[in-house]
Amino acid sequence: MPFRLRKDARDWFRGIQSTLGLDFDIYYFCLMAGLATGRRTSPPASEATDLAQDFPGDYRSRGRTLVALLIARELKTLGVGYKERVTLHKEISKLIDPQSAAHLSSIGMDAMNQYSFGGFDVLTEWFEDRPRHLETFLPQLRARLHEAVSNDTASPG
Amino acid sequence: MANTIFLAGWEVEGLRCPDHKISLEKAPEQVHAVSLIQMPNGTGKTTTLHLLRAALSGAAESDAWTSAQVRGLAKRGNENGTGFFRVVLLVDGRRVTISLNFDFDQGTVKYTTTLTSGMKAGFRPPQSIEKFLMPDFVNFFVFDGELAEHLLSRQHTDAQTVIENLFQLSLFTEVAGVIGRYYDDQTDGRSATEEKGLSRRRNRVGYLRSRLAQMKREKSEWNTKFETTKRALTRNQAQFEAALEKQREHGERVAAAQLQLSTAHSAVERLAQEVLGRFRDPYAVASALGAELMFLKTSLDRVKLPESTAREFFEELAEEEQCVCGRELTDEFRQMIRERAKHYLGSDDVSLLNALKTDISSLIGPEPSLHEKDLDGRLERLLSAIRHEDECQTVYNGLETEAVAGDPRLQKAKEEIERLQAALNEFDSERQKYDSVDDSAGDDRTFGIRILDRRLEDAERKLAEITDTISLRRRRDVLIRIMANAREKARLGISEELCREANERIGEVMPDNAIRIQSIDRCLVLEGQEGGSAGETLSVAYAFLATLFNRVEHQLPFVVDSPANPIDLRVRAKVAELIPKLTEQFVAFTISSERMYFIEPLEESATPPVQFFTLFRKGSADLDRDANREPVVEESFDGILVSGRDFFCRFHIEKEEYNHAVSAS
Repeated sequence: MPFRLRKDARDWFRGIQSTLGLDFDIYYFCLMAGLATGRRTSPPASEATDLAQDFPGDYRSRGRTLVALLIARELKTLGVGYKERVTLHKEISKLIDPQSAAHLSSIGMDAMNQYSFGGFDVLTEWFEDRPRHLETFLPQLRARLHEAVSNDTASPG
Repeated sequence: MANTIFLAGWEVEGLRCPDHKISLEKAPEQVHAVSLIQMPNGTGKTTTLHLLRAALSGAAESDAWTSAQVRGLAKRGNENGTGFFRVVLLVDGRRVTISLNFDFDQGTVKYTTTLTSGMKAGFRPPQSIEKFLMPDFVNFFVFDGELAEHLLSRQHTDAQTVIENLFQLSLFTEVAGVIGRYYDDQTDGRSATEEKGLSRRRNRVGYLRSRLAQMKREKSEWNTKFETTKRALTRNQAQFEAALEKQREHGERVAAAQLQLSTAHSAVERLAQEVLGRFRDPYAVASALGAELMFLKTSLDRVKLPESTAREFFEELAEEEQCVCGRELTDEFRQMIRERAKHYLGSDDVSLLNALKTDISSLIGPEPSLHEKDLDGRLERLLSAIRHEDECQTVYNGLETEAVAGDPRLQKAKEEIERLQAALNEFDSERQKYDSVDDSAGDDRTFGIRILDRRLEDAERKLAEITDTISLRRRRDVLIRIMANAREKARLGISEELCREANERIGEVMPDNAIRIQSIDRCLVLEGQEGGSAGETLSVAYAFLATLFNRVEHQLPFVVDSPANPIDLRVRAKVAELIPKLTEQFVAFTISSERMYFIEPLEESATPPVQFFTLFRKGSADLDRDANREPVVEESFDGILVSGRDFFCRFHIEKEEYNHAVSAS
């Protein structure tokens, strides 16, 4: 199962797409907004396209960290305590698949894609207009993400 | 069941060609495999072929020919005002006669068709051969050189048409049409329990379709305006900057400011890329995320996940006779071990979790906030560079304003650029509203094409639901898709097979020539070349048509005008050898210059006897006398038809001489 990108997200980022080294950057921006705010959505399959089977380029070395971040956020959402060894084991096993190129099971990949889909809705709420310059977009996005993560200060587990 | 059609002969009277009657039968219900009819130029060969095509295709049915066209076919001096052309076919052994009956006074032509059941008015061939007797198709088996060129021309779709007609691929489309109509009948005919609701939903579907089409049209118009203005703006800016450069007094300052601006812009771009690189580390975006990851790692360590022992160890243990502690394992213990093994991760899972923990430790390290500080530093440098770029831009703009103030033409150009820029912004903003994902407004105030698309899909689904036909619609869609796929697959399969068989034949005719059919895509596409010589074109066409006509499912006659005329002498013999293999019946109209290198190879290859006719107009005393010495001669009002090889082979007449003799008569 591949990473999937919303068609409207690709379109929204068209102003800075040429300055991004990877299409996966668009997926990543959306994912971070989704993970930071806990927003998940499942748009119809026809409104997203397949992007990649595994983490490309610079993301290859960060892939497992992103999987870990997904696990941490999912455990927190489910309210799984870090001392509940059996439940912890069960929930982690659901999300990962060592045989898959992206280390994610189909449930894990679904969750990752849903955070990215939901994150795009968050971005369109954060920004009145679509981005036109990378240099002005990145500082603003960083400020928004930082704020969202800081607001979500409840300690995990 | 196979369909066989043979041409048994024809008879013509009162028309522009000489009156004559030709029988191609060698015995009752058996035709000659090869019949050659020699007609010198000016004898009405074109008229005869035209009539033959019309009789076989019904092309003149239902007053399709104008009275002028009909009268144009009358024989000069035809006094009784009528004429006819009658063709006799053998269809699966049964005689079918089709007549074209001309009334030149009225300017009309009427068909009659005679079957074993009797004569009927109109063009009424048996149903089993209707598909062959269509105007588009008859042209393929009553064939001339022009059609051969069409087969290889991208401007024409004749090759594809013939395949689609002959193999009846349109049946798939017709079946899909029947399925669609069945669905429409079911949905129209069903009395909805909520008539008002049905009508409302139908209206909404109709409205959304029209709104969506309108929005797409408008978006396309705005896009066009945007692109046109953008091009104009780029052009004007380039002209403006060039003019600005020319101002000597400002030239150096402008150039220096431009260089500074460009350098500042490059710095911004470079720093933005550096920030992007660091941004890709989620723990740099917010140190809280780094802390969260570290917390995950330490928590897993604390609960000893992953375990040092993997699930496989216990699964294997459950198969042993004794436990590792030496105790004997009973079935009950084994079952318990297997159950509990499920609480352990597999060895692959263990490796992955360990790698994941290692990554967290090595990438984030003991101080998660360092990454955020690093990103902050880069962002600060980026923002500082942006500020510097803004300053450079201000200096450059100031110089530009100064220059413009001193030159009215530049001022005007500047105003034009500003106008274009404003228009560009407006067009961009206008076209963007069609990309909106705002789903809150009503249909008439929604511009987002994707939103309208989704609403239309939803409205169609609701309409289908109310008429209780949603499953019917799905089945319809599946069946129509199957029909479309089947049609395409059949077309490709047939085309490939025909290409292969036709290429084998081409190889036989021209063993030293590499010309081959690569595919059939509208026309015949040749391998690695656009076209061939006239001879090559005709040979390729013959091979293709032979492959079509000589099949298990059907046998058709092949009537050709001047089969050897455009072929060079080296290839003629090969084509002549091929011709008898084309179909069960080959009928050709020839002229005397085609005999060389053609007749003898043809005879050697054909099933004997080859039938020879020579038809010419009366009027040349020597020729008439010579003909009348032949054993089988038929003389009509204005023509002489001689049967036999000897006369055929010695008949030679110059066009001028013949025309002179005929007009003198």
